[in-house]
Formats: sequence, C-alpha cells, structure tokens
Amino acid sequence: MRSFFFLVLAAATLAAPVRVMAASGGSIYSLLGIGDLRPGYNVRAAGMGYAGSTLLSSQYLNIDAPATWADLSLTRLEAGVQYEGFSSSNGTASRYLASLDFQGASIGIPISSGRGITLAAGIEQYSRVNYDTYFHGTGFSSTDSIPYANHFSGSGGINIGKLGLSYKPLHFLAIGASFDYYFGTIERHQLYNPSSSSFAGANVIQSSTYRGAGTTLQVLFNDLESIAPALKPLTIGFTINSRTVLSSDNQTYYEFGADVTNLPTSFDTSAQASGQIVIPLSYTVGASYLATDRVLIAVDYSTRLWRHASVEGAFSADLRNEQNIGFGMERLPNRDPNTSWGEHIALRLGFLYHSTYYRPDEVGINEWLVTGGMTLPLSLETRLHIAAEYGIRGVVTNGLLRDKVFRLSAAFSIGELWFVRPDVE
Amino acid sequence: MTDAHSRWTQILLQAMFLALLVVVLPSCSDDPTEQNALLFPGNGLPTVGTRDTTIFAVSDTTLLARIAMNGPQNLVGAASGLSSAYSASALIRFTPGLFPARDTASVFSATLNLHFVYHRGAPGGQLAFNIYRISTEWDESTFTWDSLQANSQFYDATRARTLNGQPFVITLTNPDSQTVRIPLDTVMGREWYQTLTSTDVTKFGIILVPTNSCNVVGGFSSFSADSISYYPAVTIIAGNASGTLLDTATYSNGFDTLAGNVQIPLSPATMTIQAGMAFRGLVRFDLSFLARGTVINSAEVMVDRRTDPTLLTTPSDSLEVHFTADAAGDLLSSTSSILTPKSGSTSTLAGNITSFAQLWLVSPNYGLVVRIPTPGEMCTFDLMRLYGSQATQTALRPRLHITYTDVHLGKKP
Repeated sequence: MRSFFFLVLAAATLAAPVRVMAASGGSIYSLLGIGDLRPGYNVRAAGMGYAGSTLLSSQYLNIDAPATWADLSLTRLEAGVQYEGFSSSNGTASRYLASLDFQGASIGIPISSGRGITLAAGIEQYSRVNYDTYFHGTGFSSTDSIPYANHFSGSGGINIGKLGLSYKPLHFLAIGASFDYYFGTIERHQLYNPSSSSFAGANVIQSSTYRGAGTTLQVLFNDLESIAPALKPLTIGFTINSRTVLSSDNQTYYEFGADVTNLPTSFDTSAQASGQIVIPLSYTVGASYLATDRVLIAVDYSTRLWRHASVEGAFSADLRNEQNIGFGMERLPNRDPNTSWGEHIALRLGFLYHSTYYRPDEVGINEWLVTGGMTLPLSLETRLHIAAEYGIRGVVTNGLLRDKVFRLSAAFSIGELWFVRPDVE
Repeated sequence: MTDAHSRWTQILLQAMFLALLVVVLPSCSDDPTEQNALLFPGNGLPTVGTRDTTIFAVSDTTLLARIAMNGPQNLVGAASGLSSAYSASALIRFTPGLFPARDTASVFSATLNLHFVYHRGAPGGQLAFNIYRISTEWDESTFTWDSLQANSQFYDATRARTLNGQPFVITLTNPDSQTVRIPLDTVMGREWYQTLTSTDVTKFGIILVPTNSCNVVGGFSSFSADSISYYPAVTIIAGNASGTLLDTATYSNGFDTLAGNVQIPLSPATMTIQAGMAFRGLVRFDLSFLARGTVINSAEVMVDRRTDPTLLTTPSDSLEVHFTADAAGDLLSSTSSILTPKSGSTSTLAGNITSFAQLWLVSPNYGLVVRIPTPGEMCTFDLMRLYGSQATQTALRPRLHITYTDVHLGKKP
C-alpha cells in the first residue's frame, strides 16, 4: 500500500510538468523519416548501453523483450520519463535544446511462476519528432521583393501499445510474444511570414495520423549447464519484430492572413488523403553472462532494415538501415537484508554504437554513447531506476550538424502481490 | 535513527532530488529562435516560389439592390439627365407618444421644418412636392421602393396636407444648408393630439411625394443626422377654442426613410453604381489557375471611371467593395475595402483586397460587390459609371494584380 501511494505521488510529481516542459525542441535530424527512433524505455538497459534483451530477472520488466518476463514473481508496474538534450552545432554556431517527456509505462502479471507464464502490457514511444528551425529567403515578383522567414517545426511521433505473454516450457528455454499496436500523430508546421506587413503570409500544418499492428517474438536460452557447466551463467536470445504496415491519414490545414500568428483571416483544409508507411523488419541478437554472483555482462546487436522501408509509397533516399551494438555491465544488488543500504544499489555502465537510419545528403549519421545507471531500492519491492547517457552523433562537414546528446532517464518500479495466486502445498 | 526512519529519510531525499531534476533540468535549454536556427542540406523541407500577374474580370453585372434607406438624410424630388429619370419620396413619422393627449384643443398652426443639405438636378431648378397622410403601419428598417409600389392604399392621395392643399414649391437658394418651413394642414396637428386612432385619425406620419413639375432632388437631414438641431421637426401652436390661451410646442423625434427609384439605361460594357435605390456592381475574377494552398501575398483591384458626366454623377472619388458569399450578391462581408484614386491616374480607382482574393481560393468565388460607400448609398442619388468587363477599351476593364507564393515547391503537402 505504501509503495502504491509512493508510486502515485512520484507519478504525479513527474507527470504534471511534463506537458509544459516537453516542447523546447530537439534534434533537427528528427525532421527526416518518422523522427528519432527510440531504443525503448527500459531504464535498466539504458544504463548498460541498451544491451538488455537477454536480461532475465524477477525484479525488472522489459516490455520490449517478452521472453524475459518468464522469471517475474510479483506483479510489477513501471513508468518512466526522460530528459533529453541536444547541443547542436554546424561548426560555427550552436544551441542547446532540451525537453522532458513521458517514456512509457507497463505492467507484468505473473500467472504461473512455475511455467513462466506472465501476462504483460505496456505503452512506449517508438519515434519522436521534435524540431524547430528557420529559413530566410526573398521572393521576387516583377514589381516587388518579399523578404520572408520560414519557421519549420515538428512534433509528435509514433507510439506502441504492447500486450503479450511469456512461457517457459523447459528450464533452459523461455519464449515470449507480444501483439504490438502502433499509433500516433506527427504534425509538421510551416509558418511562412513575409517581413513586410504589406504582404500576407500563411501557417501550414500537415498532420499525419498513423496506425497499424505488428508482433514481437523472442526466444531465450539460459541455464545451459546440460551442454557445458561453463554455460550455466550464459543467456542468449533472439528477438524479431515483424514488418508492419502503418496506414496514415494525412491532412493539411492552412491559415492565411497578414498576421498569421494572431488573427488569420481565412482558413482552408485539404481533402484527407490516405497513405502508408512501412515499418521494416528488425531483429536483435543478444547475450548476457553472469560473470560472478554480482557481476553481469551483456551485449546486444540489433538492426532495422529501413533501406527497404517506404514512406507514403516511396523509398526515401534520406534513410538507410539502422544498426546498434551495445555492451554493458551491471553490479547486481546484494540480496542479504543485513547489509548496508548502499550494497542494495545496482550499478551499471555501458557503451553503444548506433548507426542511425538518417542519411541526409547521402551522408550517414552515426552516434556514440557512453551510459551509466543505478537502481535504488526504496522499499522491499519499490525501486527507482536512473540512467544517464552522453554521446555524439553526426559531423560538421558537408554542412551537416553534430549533436552532443545528453539523456537522463528515471523510472519507478513497484512489485506487488496483486493477482498472484500463492502456490498450493 | 531507526531503520524505518532511515528508510523514509532515503525515500524523501530521493523524491526531492527527482522533483528538483524535473524542475531544473528542462529549464537548462535555449529557446529555438531565428538567430540560433540550424539546418543541413538535403533536409527535404519545402521551398517557396513567388510570382505575380494581372488578370481581367471575366464578368460583371449591375445588380438592383432594393435596400432600406436609413441614412443621415432623406431625398425628395425628381430629376432627369442623360436619358434617365430619378424620383424620391420621403417618409416622416413623429413618435406618437411625444404628442400630449389633447382631444379638445384647437390647433391654430402646424409647421414642418426641414433642413436641406443635398441637391441634385438642374441649377436653379424647382423642388415641388405634395404632402399626404400615411394610412398604414411601416418600418424604416425594411421599407423600400417596392413596399411603396406594392400598396396603392399606403397613403391618402385624395387630400394634400399642406395648409392650402396645394403642392409645396421652392427654389433652393442654398441647397447645402437651408431650412425650409412648410405650413401643414392644422387637421394633421389635431389628429396627432388625439388619443384614439381610427381610419380617419392616424398617427402613421406623412409622405412627401414629388409633383410632375419637380425637376430637382433635395436631401434634408433625417433623424439620423449628426446634429439634433437639424432633425425634422413640427411646431404646433394650440390652445382653447377662443384662442385666448395659446401654447407653442416643437416635436423633433421619430423615424424616417426614403423610397427612391431610377430609370437608367444599362449597358453590358458599363457597370453602373447608383446610390439611393440602389444599383451595385458584381464583378468576378477567375483564380482557378492557382493551386490550393497558394498564399496570396497581395491583391489590388483596379476599376476605371467613365468620364461622360450626368446630372447625378457623384463628385466623390471612392467606391466600397465587399466579398460576397452568394451568387446574387446579397450576402456581403462585414469588412470592406475602399477604392481610391490610384497615384498617377486620373480615372483609375484602386484598393487592396488581399483577404478577399484569399477567400476566393478557399470558398466559392462569387465575386466582388461594388457600391457607393456608406452612408451615401442610403441617402444620395450619387452615380458612378465604370468600364465593364466587356468594354471595348480592354486596358480599362476591371483588373486584379496579385502577388502570390507557392509554399510547397518541391514537396507535396
């Protein structure tokens, strides 16, 4: 009860200011494709270079890795937020834009601990569009020159709702599957504003609403002592996310007037047009190894085949295949209740190489990150996960931009005996 | 410190740390501005392209708009010029509640006072009209020339209500500012002092109808004039039967209007803009060559006046234009644009209609309504004739110069 109360209090503290502060802008690169692709909101994995696909645990819930739910012993609720900042530079000028955003929430309910059957559901961000920039120019007619500013901004993104089950038919084999529902709206604004009040301008808003369904399948092998004793601490896994076709409803809104930011004098709305975006197939191969009873090492490789994706029926030359290679280590908490509180803290360190799917002007944008994190025990089954990331992506050659990325993630996790039937002796 | 106390202290400290992060971190951010904006090549953002052109009206129509005349002056009289004929009757009703109930009083005189401020017609011409008692209820906000024509019993034409029963005739020596006093039949005064009304005793007011000998149109200040001292007024001297006790009272409150008509030849090559009854112009420009989403940066409409004068040609050099939401030109936008003389031209009137042109791209295009600027349309016989869309002088036809921008170049919306 106390944990539940604290979770509510924490959620209210975090969620209340989120909408107010989440609009300062992000990376300009998010104007390409469907925005920045999110690596999942699992804060434990974030602290380990996002190498978390094979981390079986009774204490953590990773909504993106359904087979890992098999070891949950308590009903577990998690919710997280992320502060993300970009220090963007073109080699001459720079600026720092940051925002705070809700990352996701999930719940896992063990149905049969003996067979590793767990039902889990959650919601998280899949992509995020958050850019804000200007372009200046001059239009020329036969009698006038019209200096103007074009203010481009984008917001929104695509989210995923997940619902799935895990099952552990054998002691060394865990499988999981989830139904994934993609949904979201991306808005792109263009404010065309002539500098002189003698000329009218316009505010153009393009809104695209997406929806579609896909699946995630995962297979984990652990406790392979029967093959070789040295393999007992090893867990290997394979995860595949299906190719998904998202249908889109696209509409453009116009506001015309001499002062479009204040009193547009006329409006127009285009006919609603339907389209499609293909989310490509992606897969992850990972492994984790419990080196000692308190040291865990994990590595993941994942790729998303965006080069074979299509946006509104056309292949985009601005996109390429995405790849991630993550490596992480974790000092597991000491389970002995008689030790100090500090011994109950889990510590993490990780590294990530991220070959993003951005390819503006035929130059691929790559990202390097170093990550760290911890889990603080707040009560018996209530935990606070924290992760910090720092990295660099992009280059300043060929007129491109370099982003220095800073992220701070936090998630509350509570475990309760809700819905869990005690074992009958 | 007990374990429970230590644990709650840890929880509280962690919550405070998180709250501090939530509040402080997002504030550590620049605001995206024009000065710190960054962009990269190959960004795929749309570019803009600006162009301009001048197009001519595809059609124009002279519309008859029978509107209620409720301006600061009323017209009475008749005039002719350039194969046209003009006629106006003025209606005046003094508020019945102003008059005291004096059923037994004797009225010794009743004088109608009118202040003339407008004149059209032959110089030195004669203003002549009869005054009749109105027999039917009427409303100044809805009464038009058609209302007068539709009811042959609207007024009692069998008896003129001047004192001598003859038409009132005057030559306006100072038509821009002249007060005229018209002796009325004292029976009118007695009727206005009666408590009850019947078919013989009505309080619906009087109508001033021009005679056949009238050849000027005069305009006198109405109850909407800007000075109370110029309102129509009636002065009644009443008293006891022997005339030993007399009192004089002046009443100057009520409502009024005019019913005007013009018989004027219309030409397909000419747009006739006539106040007082009224004729308006409806002109259309075809903007269908512009794609949806095109931004109209500016739009200037130009029309040219015909210089052949008439007796009623307005000395004014402005017109008023409205966007219209129906094909008949009845539904006018609440906002309007004024056309004024274009610099460097003696006959061209021009005005900014940017917002109207933009509306033509987002809603049905029924064109532009052109009228004599208010309040002149409701209280004068001012006339302006314009070159129409079929004028032989093509350069003088109504035209529209627009500067426009496509904001989606290189990218489909």
